Amino acid sequence: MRLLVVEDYAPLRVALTAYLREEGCAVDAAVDGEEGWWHAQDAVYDAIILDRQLPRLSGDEILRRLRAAGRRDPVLMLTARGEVPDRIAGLEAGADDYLVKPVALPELLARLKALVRRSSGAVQNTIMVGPLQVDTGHRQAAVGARALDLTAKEWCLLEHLVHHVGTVVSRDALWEHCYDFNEEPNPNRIEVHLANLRRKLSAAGADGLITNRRGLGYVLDAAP
Amino acid sequence: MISIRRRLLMGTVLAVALSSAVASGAAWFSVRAHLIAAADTDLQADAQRLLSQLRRRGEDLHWAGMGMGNATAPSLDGWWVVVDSRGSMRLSSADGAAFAQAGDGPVDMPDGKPGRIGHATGTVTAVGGRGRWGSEAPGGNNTLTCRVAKADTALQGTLSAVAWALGTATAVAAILAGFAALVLVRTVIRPVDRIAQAIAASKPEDDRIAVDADSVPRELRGIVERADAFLAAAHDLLQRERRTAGNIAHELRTPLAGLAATIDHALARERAGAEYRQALVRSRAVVTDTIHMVERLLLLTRLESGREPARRENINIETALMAALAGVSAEARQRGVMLPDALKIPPHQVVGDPDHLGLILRNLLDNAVSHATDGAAVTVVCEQHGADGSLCIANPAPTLSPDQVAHLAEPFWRGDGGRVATGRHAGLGLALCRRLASLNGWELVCTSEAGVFTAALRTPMHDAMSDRKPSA
Repeated sequence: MRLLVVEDYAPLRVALTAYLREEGCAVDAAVDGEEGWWHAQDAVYDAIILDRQLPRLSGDEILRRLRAAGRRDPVLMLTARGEVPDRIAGLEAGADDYLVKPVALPELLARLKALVRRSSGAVQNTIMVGPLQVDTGHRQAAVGARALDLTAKEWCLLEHLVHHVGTVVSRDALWEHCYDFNEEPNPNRIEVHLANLRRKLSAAGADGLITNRRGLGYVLDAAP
Repeated sequence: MISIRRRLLMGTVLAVALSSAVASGAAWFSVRAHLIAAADTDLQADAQRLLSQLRRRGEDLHWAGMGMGNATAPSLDGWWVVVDSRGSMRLSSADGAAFAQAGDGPVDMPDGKPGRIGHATGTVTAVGGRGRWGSEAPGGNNTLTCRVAKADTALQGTLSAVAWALGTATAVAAILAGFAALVLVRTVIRPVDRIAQAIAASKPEDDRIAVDADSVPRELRGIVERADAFLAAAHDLLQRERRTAGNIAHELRTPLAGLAATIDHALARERAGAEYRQALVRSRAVVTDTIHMVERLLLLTRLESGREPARRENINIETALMAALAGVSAEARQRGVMLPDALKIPPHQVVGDPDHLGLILRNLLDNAVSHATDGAAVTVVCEQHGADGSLCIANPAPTLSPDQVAHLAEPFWRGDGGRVATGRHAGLGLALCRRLASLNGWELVCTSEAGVFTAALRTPMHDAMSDRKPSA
């Protein structure tokens, strides 16, 4: 899950970013509105955590620009303004969720997952693809009764493919989804993690779920 | 407590009843005096008529009871008596002798009823060969007094009827006054009622009572306007308190969120000791920020409630400035912001609280360094303008609109709507500076023109207080 955190208060931004990274998310962090908008223009995020009152460019303005550009990235507003009119204004500005500080990080993560799930069109946390069962809420995958032991990056790749079942996902898109801005782009790393993921699936009895479309990317499908 | 309506009602009825009673009493006494005077005139006329008869008949009078025929007796109602100048009774009607010595005025009649007596005195000339009383020679004069007494039943009856009529009129007037007062008082009291009800129904959120000042009588307009003014002031105060409480909550949420996130992250999994220590260090920094902000809020509260004391001392402004510059030099170096090396200070001293001046200078310099663009220069200029001095701290920064500049000294207001929300830049610094300056008799003026933000502290310049040593 690729996330953008736009928060000017350093202690919150640092803790939030570190927590989300530890949870397997690729996180870009911006210290003010201008930097946040710069990141948002540059990449498509699975979700954006946006403070409303930001130096240089307000969160509302970033959101307005995003929506004006036709971007549908799920946006969770995280702000200290908790009055009802503030919440209404935030949601009407185009936010998909609104959280008032302070917030428990596990709750924030759960909301982000729900946002990503909704944006992918799934209605449940558990997604079935043939014999493969993926629980995005608990970050668990299994083939039949056999649980898969996945690394953070393997999980990240599987999660993204599961949200795009039947669709060819390019290596660049997989990179964008699993690595943050600070990582040096290296498609080979995607290849390595995907090979490991396919091997684990095969070992569990779900061979051939992920196929390589040469020159295009990868696709996860129950009936390849 | 008796209501105003009842008081007015009772007062009006009582006043009308008393006035009516006094008027009726006066009328009754006047009528009575008039009737008595008329009755006395009638009695005197009767007595005069009797005297005239005596004159016509002289000594030849022979009347009933005195050897005279009834046919010649005076035709008078009541009783009569004739006495001479020596007080001796000469003639009388039956039972009339009882009034021989009586004076004029009220008297009891022989039949027991009340009556009145009147008299007439005159000279009667004796006629014939011998006098009736023997002592007077014919042709001699006798001075006689005729007294006539009559029952005054009719007079008393008339007076009684008048008294009843006046009493009834008084009672009716009082009753009518009661009804009239009821209507009058209701009309008069209605605006007061309306105002009282509006004030009673007003809530702290209201900024005026629900009565239009122009629709009430002129005498009450002041009350409505005053009540409106008080409510407006209370409303403003309430709004300000709510705003302040909201702002404080808002400002505290951000560091609390940082603290909670730091702790949540540290507790999310088992970690090495160094990682826990790092989380504790970060948490301590957040707590320090929060304490700093709370201290500023407390100072602001003390200033706004007039509980912050201010000392009056000579202040060495150069020393104070150098101390404040030293406090921001580290951040200035880090950001490449240039601070002045040397200061030209006029040979005057500022009088006031040195701690307050230090706080103002630190805040202004801290703002200047924080909001100056990287690598820019912060300038500090001390000048003297006549009797006043000014200390200007300027830094390059995006130009603020006049409206933004006007709001700069409001607590929690931020120029760009979203500066870092910590205790350090919570929008309190300039608010504190302005209030501290005002407390010490100084003035803080902020301007933003052509990409330069300037905070000018204007201080009345005083010659050094000779009896005190300057303090930094």
